Amino acid sequence: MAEVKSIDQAKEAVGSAVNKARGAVNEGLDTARKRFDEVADVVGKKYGKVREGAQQATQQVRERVGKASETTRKQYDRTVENLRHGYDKVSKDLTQLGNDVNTYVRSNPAKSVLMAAGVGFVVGLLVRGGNRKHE
Amino acid sequence: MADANSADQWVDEVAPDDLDWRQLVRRYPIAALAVAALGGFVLGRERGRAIVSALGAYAGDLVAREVNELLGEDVV
Repeated sequence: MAEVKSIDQAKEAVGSAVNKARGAVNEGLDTARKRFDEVADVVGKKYGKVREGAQQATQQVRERVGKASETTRKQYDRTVENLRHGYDKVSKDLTQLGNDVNTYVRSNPAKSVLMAAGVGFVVGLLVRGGNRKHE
Repeated sequence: MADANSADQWVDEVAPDDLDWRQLVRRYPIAALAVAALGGFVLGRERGRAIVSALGAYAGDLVAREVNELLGEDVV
């Protein structure tokens, strides 16, 4: 009878020890799970910040590229417009000059022809003189 | 430079009689100027020095004649 009693006590002691160990293991697992959750939370927050920073940087780069592109396009348009304006002006001036020359030559044919021949003569004389110096 | 009338007369004398140069110049003004300038260029290049020398001698002769007439004797 005393043996049965001691076996029951031993069983209770072992069960109590097992329950205590199980509780300690569960407590450890809970702590580990909490720590893991905390770490995951911290990593998630940091990743979120990094991702947010990358998105902001991308957005800024995109805005700057867009502004630069817009500025370049405006500058190009302005340059093309200036060139076109200059070309039109020169073309108009040349047309006007041609008309003036035509009018003057028709009004003074002999004078114009003699002036042109005189200019050609002087240029020919200078060219001949320049060539002789080189010879 | 000579005025328009004397220039016309001079060109009339130089140009061939059967050539209506006025009509040509009025019809093709730019081409006429180009031909005249080209002719002058060739003339100046080939005979420029001779022409300038002849003109210089002629001008000198005229001046000498005027001076001699003014002084009444052959000074120059």
